[in-house]
Amino acid sequence: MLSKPKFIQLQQTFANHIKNPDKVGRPQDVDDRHMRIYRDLFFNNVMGFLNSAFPVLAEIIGEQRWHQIGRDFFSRHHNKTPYFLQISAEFLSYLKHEYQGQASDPDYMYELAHYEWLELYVDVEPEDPSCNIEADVQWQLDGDVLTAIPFLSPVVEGCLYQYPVHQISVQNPSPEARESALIVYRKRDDSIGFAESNAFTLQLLELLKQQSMTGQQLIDTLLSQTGLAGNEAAYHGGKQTLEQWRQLGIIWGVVVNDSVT
Amino acid sequence: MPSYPVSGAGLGLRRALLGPLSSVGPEQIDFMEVAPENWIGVGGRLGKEFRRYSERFDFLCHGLSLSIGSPDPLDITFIQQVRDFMKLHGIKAYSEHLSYCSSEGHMYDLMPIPFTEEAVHHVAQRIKTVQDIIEQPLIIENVSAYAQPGKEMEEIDFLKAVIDESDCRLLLDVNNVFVNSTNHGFDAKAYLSKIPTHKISYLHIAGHYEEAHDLLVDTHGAEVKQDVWDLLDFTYQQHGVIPTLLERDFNIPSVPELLSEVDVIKRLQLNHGGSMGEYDAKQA
Repeated sequence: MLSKPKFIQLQQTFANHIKNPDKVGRPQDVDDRHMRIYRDLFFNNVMGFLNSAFPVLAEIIGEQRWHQIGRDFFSRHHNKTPYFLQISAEFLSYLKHEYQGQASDPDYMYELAHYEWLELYVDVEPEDPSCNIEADVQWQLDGDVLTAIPFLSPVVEGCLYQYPVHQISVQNPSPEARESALIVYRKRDDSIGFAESNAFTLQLLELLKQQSMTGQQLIDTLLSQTGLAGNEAAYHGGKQTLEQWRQLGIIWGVVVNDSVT
Repeated sequence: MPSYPVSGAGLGLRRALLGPLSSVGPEQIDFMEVAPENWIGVGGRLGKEFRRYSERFDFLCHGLSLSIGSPDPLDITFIQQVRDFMKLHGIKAYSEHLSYCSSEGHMYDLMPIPFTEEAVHHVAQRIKTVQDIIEQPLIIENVSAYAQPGKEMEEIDFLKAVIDESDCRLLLDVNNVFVNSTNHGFDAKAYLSKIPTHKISYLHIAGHYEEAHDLLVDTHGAEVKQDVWDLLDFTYQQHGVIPTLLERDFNIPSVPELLSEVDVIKRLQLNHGGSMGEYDAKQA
């Protein structure tokens, strides 16, 4: 194998020292006073991204430990994204696959990070790759979500957490484990909505995302998939859920018939 | 006659400025610049707000993650996404830093390329690849540096060699010349005089932070220092009136204060006989 050009080796030393100054020495021809400028600029920059994406987790973990985690992330994780808003997704991947936890870490650590990431994701994710779903499907505010096809918010995610991550804060840092089905979605006015749900209705949401069906068909499909076909109470519950989702703005309206082909 | 992708006096658009600048028009700011890394793949309220800006103003892309001098391979998919983003918003040109910001992964800030012959070839080759994809010249910017690891030639000679070999264009950052002249002890005016006039696409001006009398940091977090305004004046004298953009990324002041700095650019341009609002439409 050809050895790397000298300048490339030097670049890698320079970068590795910035990532992990305790393990990698600085290049010989750079003094510490100047190298420190780079070390500080880079690390503060990365911590700035993490702090703005994960404010609740940062506060609960505490500054000292949070900085240790930030340093470990910066020195070990191979960031693939060129996009700044996606650094939070890189950090999430690091937490899942590379992070070595400590006994003092809260059990909900990953789930809380995921929930904080989700808020950012729903805020900025394009509606569709060409950013203009509304032009493709006509929809209107008014209409019966049971007999028409509901028009779902274009950016909506439902997740089942083992902890009530939406209630965690510095004031409430150690909640009891409790299965929490949370929906985060983009409202009609582009603000972000949060709703608590249950595991069953999360399935309804998934179905709604995948299939173009009337509300009635959706509920029927879900009930037969879960062995509850013909159950009046369950049908009524499904109907109420769809109505409630329309109130909350998880469902924006109904698809206009003409556009269904 | 040199030709430019934009004209007049510009301002860098930050997310924090979307609200404050919403009632400011192209009669006050001639052109704007964004980091494509902050806007590609961004929808929702931010995406819509950006669209309202790109429809109203002339825009340039000023990238941060290309990492043109990196030991890591170029991210071809990313470059194609930048090209598509420029087409989508009618953005006129793409500038990037003559530096690297990745080494076994992205590090999200700028590191100094060693000034060596080998590095010139490495960078020039990669610039050519980028230019093939974006189908127009890449504009590279001289960067501020706090160290010069592995230096075998002067910064100005490295810069000129890269431009010559790759046939790219130059974004001349006047503040960065000032910062480096202090940090590395060279004559800023001599540096500026050696720049080939016809290669310049536009200029940057910004404020810096004085860490020590011999160590300046390019923070974009303060108003432009008088020494740097004087260098801009000198640049116009040497190279003619060139479109110039004010960068302000931190400690962002009120809109009137920002616009008053943009107006200083306009005034200097007028002093040098610059007629505002005219430029070579062929570049656009």
